[in-house]
This record gives sequence, C-alpha cells and structure tokens, in this order.
Amino acid sequence: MIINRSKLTSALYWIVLTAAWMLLAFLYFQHIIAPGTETIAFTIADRTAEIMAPRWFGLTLFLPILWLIARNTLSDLPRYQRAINITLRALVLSAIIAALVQVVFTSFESRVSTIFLVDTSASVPDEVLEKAVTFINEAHQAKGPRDDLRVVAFAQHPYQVEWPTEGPLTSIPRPNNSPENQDEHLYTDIAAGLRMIYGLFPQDHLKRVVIISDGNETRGDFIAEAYRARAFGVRIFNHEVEFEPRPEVLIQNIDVPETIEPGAPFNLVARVFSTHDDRATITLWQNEFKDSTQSVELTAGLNEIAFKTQVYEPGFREFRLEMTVEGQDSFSENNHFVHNINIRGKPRILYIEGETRSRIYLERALKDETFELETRSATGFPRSKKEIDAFDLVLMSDVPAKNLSHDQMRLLDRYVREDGGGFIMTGGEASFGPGGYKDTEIEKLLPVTFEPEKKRETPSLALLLVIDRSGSMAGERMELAKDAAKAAVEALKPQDQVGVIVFDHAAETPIRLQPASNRSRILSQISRLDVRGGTDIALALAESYEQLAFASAKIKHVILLSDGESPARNIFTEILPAMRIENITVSTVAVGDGSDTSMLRRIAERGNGRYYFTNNPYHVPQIFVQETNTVAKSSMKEEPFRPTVTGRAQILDGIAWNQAPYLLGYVSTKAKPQANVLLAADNGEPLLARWRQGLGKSAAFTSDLKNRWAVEWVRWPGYSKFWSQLIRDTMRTDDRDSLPMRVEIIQDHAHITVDAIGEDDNFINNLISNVQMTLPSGKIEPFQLTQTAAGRFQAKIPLKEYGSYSFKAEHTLNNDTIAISNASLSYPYPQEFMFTQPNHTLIRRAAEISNGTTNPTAQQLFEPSGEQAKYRRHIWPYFVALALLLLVLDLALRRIRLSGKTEISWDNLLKKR
Amino acid sequence: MQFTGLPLQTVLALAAAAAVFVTVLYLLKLRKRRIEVPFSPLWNQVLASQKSYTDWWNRLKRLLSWLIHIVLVALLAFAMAGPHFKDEVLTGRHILVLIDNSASMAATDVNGGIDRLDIARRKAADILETVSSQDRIMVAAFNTRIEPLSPFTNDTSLLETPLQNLSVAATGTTYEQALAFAADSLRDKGQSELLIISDGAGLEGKSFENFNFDQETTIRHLKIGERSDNIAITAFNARRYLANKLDFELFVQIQSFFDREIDAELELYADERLVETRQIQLQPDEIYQTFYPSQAIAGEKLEARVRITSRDARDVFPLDDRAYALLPAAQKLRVQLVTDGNLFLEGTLLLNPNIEVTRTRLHEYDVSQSFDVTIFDRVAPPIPDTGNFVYFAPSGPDSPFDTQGAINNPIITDIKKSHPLMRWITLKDVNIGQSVKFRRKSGDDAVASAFGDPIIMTRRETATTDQPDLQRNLIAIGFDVRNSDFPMRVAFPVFIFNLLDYLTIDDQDFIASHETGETWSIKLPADIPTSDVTATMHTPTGQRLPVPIFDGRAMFYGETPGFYRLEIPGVSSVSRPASILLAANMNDVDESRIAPFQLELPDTEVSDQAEALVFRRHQLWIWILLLVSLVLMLEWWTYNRRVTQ
Repeated sequence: MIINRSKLTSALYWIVLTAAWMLLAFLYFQHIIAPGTETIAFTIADRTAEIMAPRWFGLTLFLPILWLIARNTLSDLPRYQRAINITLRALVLSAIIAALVQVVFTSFESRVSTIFLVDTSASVPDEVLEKAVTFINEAHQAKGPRDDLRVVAFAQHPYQVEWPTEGPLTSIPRPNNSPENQDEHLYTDIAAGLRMIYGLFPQDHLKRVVIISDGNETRGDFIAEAYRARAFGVRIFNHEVEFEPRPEVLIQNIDVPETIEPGAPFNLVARVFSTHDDRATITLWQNEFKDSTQSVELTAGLNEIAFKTQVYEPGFREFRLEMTVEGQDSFSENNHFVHNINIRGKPRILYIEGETRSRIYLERALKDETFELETRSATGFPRSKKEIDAFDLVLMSDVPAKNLSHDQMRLLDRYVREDGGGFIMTGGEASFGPGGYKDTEIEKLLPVTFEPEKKRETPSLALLLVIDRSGSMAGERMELAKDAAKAAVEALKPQDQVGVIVFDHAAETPIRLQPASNRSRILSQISRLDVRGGTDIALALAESYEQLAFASAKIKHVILLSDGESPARNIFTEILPAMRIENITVSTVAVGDGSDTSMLRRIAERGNGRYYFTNNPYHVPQIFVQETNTVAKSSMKEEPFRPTVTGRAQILDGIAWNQAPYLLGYVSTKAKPQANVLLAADNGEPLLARWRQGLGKSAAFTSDLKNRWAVEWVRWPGYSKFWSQLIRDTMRTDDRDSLPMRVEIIQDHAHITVDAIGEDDNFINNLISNVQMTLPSGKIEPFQLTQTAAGRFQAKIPLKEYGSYSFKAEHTLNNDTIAISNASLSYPYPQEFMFTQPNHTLIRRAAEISNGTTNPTAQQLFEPSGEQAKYRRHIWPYFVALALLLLVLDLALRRIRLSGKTEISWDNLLKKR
Repeated sequence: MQFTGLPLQTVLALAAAAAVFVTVLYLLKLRKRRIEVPFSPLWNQVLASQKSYTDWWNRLKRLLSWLIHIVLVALLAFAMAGPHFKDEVLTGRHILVLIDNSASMAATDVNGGIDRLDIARRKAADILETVSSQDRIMVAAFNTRIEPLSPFTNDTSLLETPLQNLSVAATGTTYEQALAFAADSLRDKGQSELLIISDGAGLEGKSFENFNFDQETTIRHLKIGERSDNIAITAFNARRYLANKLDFELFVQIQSFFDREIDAELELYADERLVETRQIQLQPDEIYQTFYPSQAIAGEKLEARVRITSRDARDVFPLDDRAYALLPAAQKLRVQLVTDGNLFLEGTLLLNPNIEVTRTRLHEYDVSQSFDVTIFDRVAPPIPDTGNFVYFAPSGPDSPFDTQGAINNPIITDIKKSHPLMRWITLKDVNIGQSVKFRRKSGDDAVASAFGDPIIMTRRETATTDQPDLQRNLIAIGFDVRNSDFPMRVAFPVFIFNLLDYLTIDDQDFIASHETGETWSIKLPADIPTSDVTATMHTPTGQRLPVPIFDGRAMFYGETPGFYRLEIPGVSSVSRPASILLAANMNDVDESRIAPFQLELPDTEVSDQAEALVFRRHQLWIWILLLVSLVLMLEWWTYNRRVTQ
C-alpha cells in the first residue's frame, strides 16, 4: 500500500503533538500535583533557588495549542521563519510562566551596616561621648558608598540619634528626662539597646554593632543578648574609650554592729570610697539628732571612718551619714547613706498600780530580774504610741476604767495586736468587771469575759443603808444622804433586797428589808426621813444584824453613813464577829472632819467592807452608788483558796504549786473559748488565763499581786518566780522567737528568704508569713512569703524608692503568731552611682561571643572580610522583562521577511508544487 | 496604586523602548509575496476594483494589531512594576508577633488544634501569609526568656519553618520581659504593631509598669484557651537537715485550680519504685502542702505524681502533674591542712568521717593540687586563683590579707550572730592571747570583731580585669588557735565544721532541685579543671547537649522537668570523668493557673482583635500575566487566520 506522504506527515504531526502534550501532562502530574509540592528548591552555581508556586507550570500544557493553531496558518512566511515564530511565541509564554512560578534566588551581598550603640547613662562622662562622636565621624568617612551607618544611644531605654542633614555628627544627646521618666539616665540597659537595633539593619547588609559604653550594666542581661545577636548574625564590636575616672567620693556602706546595747558605746564604720585624695566632712545623724561630725582626710581607695557613738534608748534608730566633699566630686547623690536598726534594750515593763502603796511587793520581787520596771500611778497610762512602744509589757493592777480614755484603750489594743506588746491585768477592786471594764476594748483584749462563771442566785443581795440622823446631819447633809440612799436604791436590780435604818441614840427601821422592785414606795419613804439627836452606831449595827441575819440572800451588806462620834460598845466584840459568821459585810462612809474616822475605818476593816471618807457631802451620793455597784455587781469572791494547775506551761515550771499558799480572793470571770487557762480557783473559774492577740499576748490574773488577796503570796518564794516568768512569757518577744530573714538586692528587686528552723533542727512548715515592708517614704507595703521548701519561705519584691527599707515579718502557725523576723536593707542611691571604673570585661566577653573584636579601627568596621550578607531575591519581574523583550523580537520576526522574493512567477510556483 | 516590583524608571524605559519598536515594526509595510499567474491582467482588473476596500481593511488590521501589541507591552510593564492597590499595602509597618510557648500553652482545652500552642502557631501563620512585602516582621517565642525566630524581615518564608518547629517549653512566663523586649524592639520604628498570642495564664492580678511603648504602636493580645481545669504539683523538693546531713525532709505542694471539689491521688516514687500513695481531696483553689520529715530513703531519684481520681473531671494540663527531686549522696569533703603541726585542728577534722584530711607541710604545699578546702595554719603561701581557703593567723608577703601589727588580748565585742559561721556557737568569752590586726578591703565581711577590728572575716573574690579567672572564697581568723582557749570549748569543732559548710555547701545544696526556665549554675567538684573542658548534658528527652564551663561551674538553661545527667570528661592524669545528677521542676504556680486572661496595660489600650492586622494580599501582577497569556494565545490565532498582522 502506498502511503500518502502528506497523510504520513499529518499523522507524525499529531503523534508528536499528542506525545509532547502527554509527556508534559505526565511530568506535571508526577512531580507537582501528586506529591502536593509547595515549593521546589535547587542549587545553581552555589546559589540556592526556590520555586515558590510550581503549580503554575500547569500553563505549559497550553503551549501545544500554538502548534495546533499554526498548522493551518495563512501566513506566507517561509516555513523556517514560521517555525521561529512559533518558538518565539512559546518562549514568550514560557517567560511568563517562569515569572508566575515565582523563582526566588538566595543572593549574597558584602555591604556593611554598622550601628553605633552609645551609652549615655549617668556613669558615662561627657568626655567619652565627645570621643565617641569623633570615632563615629571617622567611621563615617571610612564607610563605602553602599555601606550604612546609624547611631543609637541608650540609658534605661534606647533611642535613635538622627544624623545631621549636612556635615558630620556634632554631638550625642543625653536621654530626655521627661517628667514621667525622671530616672532615665540612672540605669544602663545595654541589652535593650541591642534589642532595638535588630530591626534597624537593612536586610541585605552585613550587621555590625559597635558598643561604646563603660559596661556597668544595671538592668537586663547583656551577655544573654549577645548570644542572641550572634544567632542573628550580628557582630558586636567593642570600642573602648579610655577616660580619666571622674573624681568621685561616695559612701559605699556603713558597718553597724548587729547587736547594740543601749548605753554601751560602739563603733559605726563608714566606708567611703574616693578616687583621689581629698577632704570631706561627714556628719552622723541619729534619727533627728546630729550625733557627731568628723572632718577627715580621704586617700584614694577605700577609707574606713569610725564613729564612736552610743544609743541611749532602745527602739527604732535611723543612722544617717551626710558627707560634704571639699574637693572634686561628680555625683552628690551617693554622698549620703541611711541604715535602720531596731535596738533592743533590757525588756521594759510598765507597771501601773492603782493603789500606789502596794506597788512595793512586785517591785521588790522583780528587783533582781533583768527587767527595767517602771511604776506609774493609775493616771500614768501612756498617751501616745511612741510612749507605749518603749515598753515590752504593760501590767495593770487595780486601775479603774475611769482613769483610761477610750483612746488609751485603743492604743493598748493596737500595742498588743499590731506591735506585739504584752499586757497583763491583775485582779482587785478596780480591775476587770468591778473596775468598770465591762464591754471595753480591754475586755476584748483579755482572755476572759467579765461575766462570772455562774449566775447569781436570786435574790442574791440584801443591802441595808444605815444612815446617821443625828443633829449634825441637819439641813443639806441629810438631804444629800437621802439623795444618796435614793440613788443606791435606783442602782439595784428589782430582785435585790434593800432596807433603810436610821439612827440617833436609837435605831429605827423606816424601810424594812424588801425587794427593790417596790422602788417608788421606798423612795417616798426615804424622802420623809428627818433629823433627830445623838449618835449610836452600835445600836444601828445590831439592828442591821438582826434584819440581815435571816435574809435569804447570798450577799448581805451594810452601808453605814455617819458624821459623828459614837461609843464603840459591843461593835467589835459581838456585833461584827456575829456579822462575819453570817457573811454580812459592812462598808462605812465618814462625812466631815467631825466624824470618828478611826472607828469607822475599823468597822469597815472588820466588816470586810470598804471605808470611804469625804469632806464634801456632795460626794456622798457618788460613794453610795459606787459602793452599791461594787456590792451588787460584785464578782469578787473573797474566800481563801489554793490555785489548781490546769494547764502545762513553761511559765508554771519550777514553782512548787503544791506548796503554794492560799489566795484570799479573786475576781470572778469566765474564760473565753480560745484562752489557755493555766491556773484555776476552787470552783474552776480562771485564775490565770492567757492567749495570743495578733502579734502580742495578753494574760489575766484574776487575784491580785499585793497584800490584799495575795497577802500570803508576797512572802512566798514562788511569787517572784511566778511573776517574772509570767512577765517574760507575755512580753514582746522579738528576740526569742525570731527567724533569720535575709534580704538581698538583685537588679532592683529585694529577694527575701526566711529559713524557719526550730530549736530541735526541725523545719517549721505551713507558716503564714506576712511581711510589712516600710519604704523609705514611710509607706507600708504588705506582702506574703510563700513556702518553697521544707522550712523555707521566700518572696521577691521590686524596689521602687531609694533609701532605707525595713522589713518585719510575722509568722503565724495555726492562727498563732510564733515568730517575728526583722531585717533592713539599704538601697541609698541607684547602682549607677556606685561605679567609678568601667567594666571592660563585660563588653569584651560579648564581643568574643559574637565573633567581634575589641577596639577595631574605623576601616575594619566596614571591611566585609569575606563575609557576605545572605538575602532572598524574587526574580519574577526579570522574567516579565524577558517576556517583553521576546515579545518585541517575536513581532519583529513576523513583520520582517527573512528570505524569499517578494515576487515569484507562476511557473516557479507550479514547479514547486 | 503602589509598586513593589522593578524600579518604575526601569519599567518605563523598557516599556517605552518596546512601544517604539512595536510602532516602528508596524510602520514597516510588510510586503506580500506577489505571485504572477497567467491572465494576470484579468486578475489585476478584479483586484483594482477591490483595492480601495482592501487598503482600508489592511490599514485597520494593522492598527488593531499594533494596538494589541501596545496593550501587551503596557500590561507586561505594569506587571513588572508589581502593582498593589493603595489601601492594601500598608508600607513600612514593623510587626512583632510574640508567641507564648510557656508551659501553660500545652493545655489541651482548645478546639481545632492539639493544644494552645498549636492554635497560636496557626494564628501566627495566618498573619505571616498576609503581611505585605513592605512590612517587616519578627516572630519571637517567649516564656521566661525571649527567643526571636529571626530579626525583622520581610521574607516571611524564612519564618515558616522555625514557627512550625516551635514547641512548648515547660517553664513559666515573664510577661514583663516580653513586653520590655517588644517596647525596645519597636521603639522608633514608626508605625508598629505588637501582636501577643498567649493564653495570658498567670496575668490575673498582675499589674504592669509603663513599658514606654511608642505612641504609634498598636498592641493586640489574642487570648487562647478556655478552661482552668488543672491540678498541679507546684513544689517538690528534699531539704537536708542542717545538723543531721544524712536525713531529709520532703516537701510536696499540690494546688487545685478547679472550681469544685476534686479527688486525687499523690504517689511517691523512689528510683521508679512506688513507695507511698496518698488519697487527697482538694477543695476549689486549695493549696495542699504535705511534708515527709526525717526521710532516709534508699534511692536517689524521687518522683511525685498526682492524678485526678474523680471520674467526672479531666486535667487539661498534664505537664505539671509530675515533679522530681534528688537525694544527693553524701560526698566526702577533701580538706588540705597546711601546718607545721596542730593537733587541735587535725583532731577536729578527723572527727568527721565525711572529711578526708590531707596534712601537708609548707614546703610540700603544691599549688596545682586542688582540694575542696585548704586550711593554712599560721602560713600563707601563694594560692591559685580558684578555691576555698581558710587562714589562721595569716602573715607574710603572699597572704591575701593585709595586716598592720597585732592586737594583744583582744576582747570580741561584736559578733554577727546571724552569720552561718556563728551558727550554734558564741565567741563572746573566748580568751585570745594575740590577734593579727587586719586592714579591711572593700567587700570584707567582719563576722567577729574587737572594737571595730575584725578578728574573723570572710571575703569573696571574683573575676577582675587583671585576674579574669579569679574565684576564691577566703576566711581569715586573726589568731592562732593554740594561743587561745578556743580549742578547749565545745564551740571549736562546731566552728570548724561551720567553716567547711560555709565554704562548700551552697544554698542550693540544701534544696537539691532546679527550676526550669532558669540558667542553672552547676558547681563542679573541686578537682575538675575549669578550662578546656566541655561537659555534656543528657536531658530527660534523651538529647545530649554541650555545656560550657566557666569559673568551675557549668551553665545550662533547662526547660524540661525531669532528671538530667551532666557528664564531665576526664582530663588525662589530672582528673577522672565525673557525672552529676540533677532534678528539674517547673514549680510555677502562675503557670499552672492556666485560666486564660486578657492582658491589660496602664495608659495603653490593648485590643483583643487581630482582624485589622490580617489582610489578603492581592497579587495583581499574576492576574495581569494571565491576561497577557490569554491575549497572546488569541492574537496567535488571529495572526495565523490573518485577522491581524
């Protein structure tokens, strides 16, 4: 079979076209679609290239259409030129596809960008900045036209320095201390400067930094940042500018002995650093007082200047040094130093005794103890915080509530709760309930309530008012006596019984013993009393005895008022002994000088009552009321008893309690639930109870410490031991229960650590440690420590002010404050002022880390020295440009016939066919 | 319209040249091939009648063809210039994306991702995809430190891989540092954007100072995470008793962050054996602390694990459910006593079985031999740059302590009671015949002194410019013990052991545990040379990392809880290889409190939206090129059909 040639060509054409198309389709599918290729990377002449969008290669599948169209072309160009045309058109499209697939080339450049990082903090003198400007200008000269140079300055924060539009750099400005940020120049944060410049380098440049700094870093971690800089290809160069150390004199520290005893002289050593020989005057202040002034010769280096001084009183001391330098000194900020210390003296005890004569017993008992006992009368309670803070314990004995103002009670409360003071109240007529302390701050503070343990039986009181109506009482006195009687009746409770006996030479009973609830009738009968003749107390008392002996009351009491003299008769021999048997007590009130005071006093003494004397009859009603109150409300139990030990405590140790003598009475109280009752009276009512209140402790001893109830005790050897142990246990305990607290400054932060290790080497755990930090400005900031390990408690607090800080930690375990920690910290001025010499090591080290050098020349800074900056370049626009050129060429080859005559003969044409 | 491709001038020049060429080419009259056929006059006649029509048609075809090519040239030039819509490209932005990769980002309380970090990573990738080529972007991961993945760059493809490889570091979060970094990095950069992608765990209740952000900086915080359901061991360590150094007390602190009661089980393992189980019930937000006093556990590696036993509760953050501690084996202390003979000192040192005493006479003293502590009794030879040294009555030119005469019968007046050297002892009534009078240097700490003159003092010497390797601890005791009644007292042996403890026991030795997210400074045994050695750290994840050694300490930044082993190669004839075990825990309550929280800054508004930052980039040039391709194809067809020329 003869194959038609043109058909053969046609078949070949189709086969080639289809094969080409299928090959393209296969390659595209195999290498791009099937593997889901996102990018293709390859290397050309050591350069990495990447194809970012290979999917666009799919467009090549349309290229065969060019041949398809050209097959039936009407173009009359020579065949070879037509072939060139197709190829060129295919190339134009290929260039476009090459642009679309987005080829990225990794390129290298050896242009250098150098950024000068200049320290402008306070520790860098102007001289350095001037030299820096010279060096930077030199570098500016040395840099090539394609290199880049910038200047960044920094102190606390970095900032850019603009290059002047014309000419060289003239100066590097210091940081702008705006009102919001006054301390800008007081810090050096090189790391921050380095961080800022990461974004300033042009991408296609070699990155270099030249650091001009004294290397005294106060914030940040420059070395860590240098490692990061290295990772980013930033080379750090260190340009050291030598400078004469600025003349500087500074107080580096004060050495104060850890324990200062009041009155004992000690040395306070100021450590003064000076860069040169100089003279200075240093003044030491103690709190507000100028202690001493020294004029000293300073030598270059560290000088130790000792101040011999002493502290006279215990308490909080602030030692302040002020230095005036005669010669040169660059900074005055570092010429002062403050150190706080809390000086503990002997424990000071404030003993307030209502009955001044009785104070000797306790004073005598404690005279050998290491306390400093200050005794004051009932009116001597401290009025200010400062006054009370000087004491470690306040002991109140028989001080009536009326002697204390509400403010003073609150002061005591705060003294115990907040300042850890101790407080003891002992019993007596004017203590606890009888003293008028019911429902006061002091009742809240004490471990007992003043309600007695048991309710009184009713009727519990039978009171007889025995009133003298002799002639001397005539007039005003009688009226006042009546008023007194009325007031007494009014003060009674309805279930109490009351009666009135009036006497002259005979005794009469105008009001028989009857319940006080008949108040109106009793009062009207009192009003009708009148005055008669002489005075016979014995009769009146005998009558009283008769009436009270059979009364059904637990307390039977007589108040006898008289202004005259009377024979004693059988008062002391019969009546009073008989009364005592029946538990009838007698108080007497003597009015005026004419009265038989000695007999009335004796009656009161024997009658187990109280004796009152007044010259002013106007006081009589008041006395009656007080007496009635005392008797009516009395929670005083006046029976001899032996204390029972009910709790174990150190304060009871070493005392022979089984040999303790009797106490003759006590004030009935009731222990509060959390109270620790250590001693009790016969009926279980508390005798000694104590507890913790906030930081301090308080204790109640319901009997007294003097010759009334404790008359046997004051002679007993245990008395002195008991009171000294009780006082020791209750008083402020900073010394004994203190846990060591360490405070360190690490980059503007105080790191506080408390190691709680008990006596037995065991760790104390679960403490709640509240710390109060007193700032130099006096502001108090509270915070809590957290437990980080067995027996370890820590916190980290930023220091925002300069000066002396004090820390007081209160450690509570199970709601019980078990210990206190005190510490102080001096942060007198910014660290920036501590430096007198540059720290070249730091920056040299950073330069080593990041492959830089120290002190390069200006030329070296811009030498690429074989380094090249790598950056990636998109080259698609060049492919578009290529497409454009090819397009023009394509057109040219269509418009210009490369060969062939423009005219051909028909014959020739036929010949060809 | 803005352009990011080739420089406009180049583009215009190219386009103009091309246009001129195109025009010139169309001005050329393309000669058709004339074919003479017979009867041509006839044809000529026919043609002549149509000529006027054809001329006009030819002219139009040529104009159209020229126009098409001019349009093609214009389109290509336009594409080359890299056009973008005006509102699309925000030129010159600096974008800093801070991605929190602290421990809490491993919490699994998220939808659409494995954990919080996974979501954060996706959000960051979204931003990367859409930044314009004029922007410069930096992505940094932060936890207790900041790790920028690159400096500011406009090549986002560089960032994609490090972003994908970003993993959670089991450390805390220091927002202050991250914000300070951001403020510094964006300072003076003009229009800048800070995007923080973080769960904000631990931000609750935190207040920040002013970070001095630029006015033009916009701050955004994308909060990730939903719940706070977690229980954690927030502390676990063993502390050695001060006196009885063989026993330890263990401390475990567990915290619940659930808002309801949870049952849990605490397990204690020693060398991977379970030694104790404890059922615990945790109230909402309870901090449960427990102690195991006087432990003399056999085993070295301790591990505490806590797990929830309540059925209806799930701990979404398991990373903090395990904690590790070590009980270091008691090591023998190597002490050198340089003396001509002093039974008091020797006898005391021999008392303690944990001390290995080497007695040396002065002429035998070898500087190159290293010991844990060297005691010089009335002698002061030259000493090496590193080590611990105790001097009794030092004198002579090589003594590091300057002296000025002597004090006869000194009375100790001031004692720092809280100093570790004075632990359990008092020196108040010690009788001393004579003491050296020291001249104090800056940094000297007088522990006991007589009327201001130090009798016992300590000094720590660190590297200076002249002596870069300097690292010495010195203690000077001014008197000769034999010239005092000190050795007759109970306090004497205690004082000697206090000396050794002070010099050799670090604070951290009491608590043998490190925290992740910190650079650990690991003290090496005394006989290991400090230079030319690189140690290897075997991490809990099985990695081996080289560790540099400076000043006798290995510095290592750890970020995974677990047990680490530091191996120090032996240097032939000088030292033998050594291996140090370490335990590391996260111990960060703030990090375990995984409840997400929104960042708030004083004086600066923090937006919680990132939409304004995200925009689609319209690459116009691609569309233009596609159009050009289409036109080229069409034109090819029209040309071959002779519709155009």
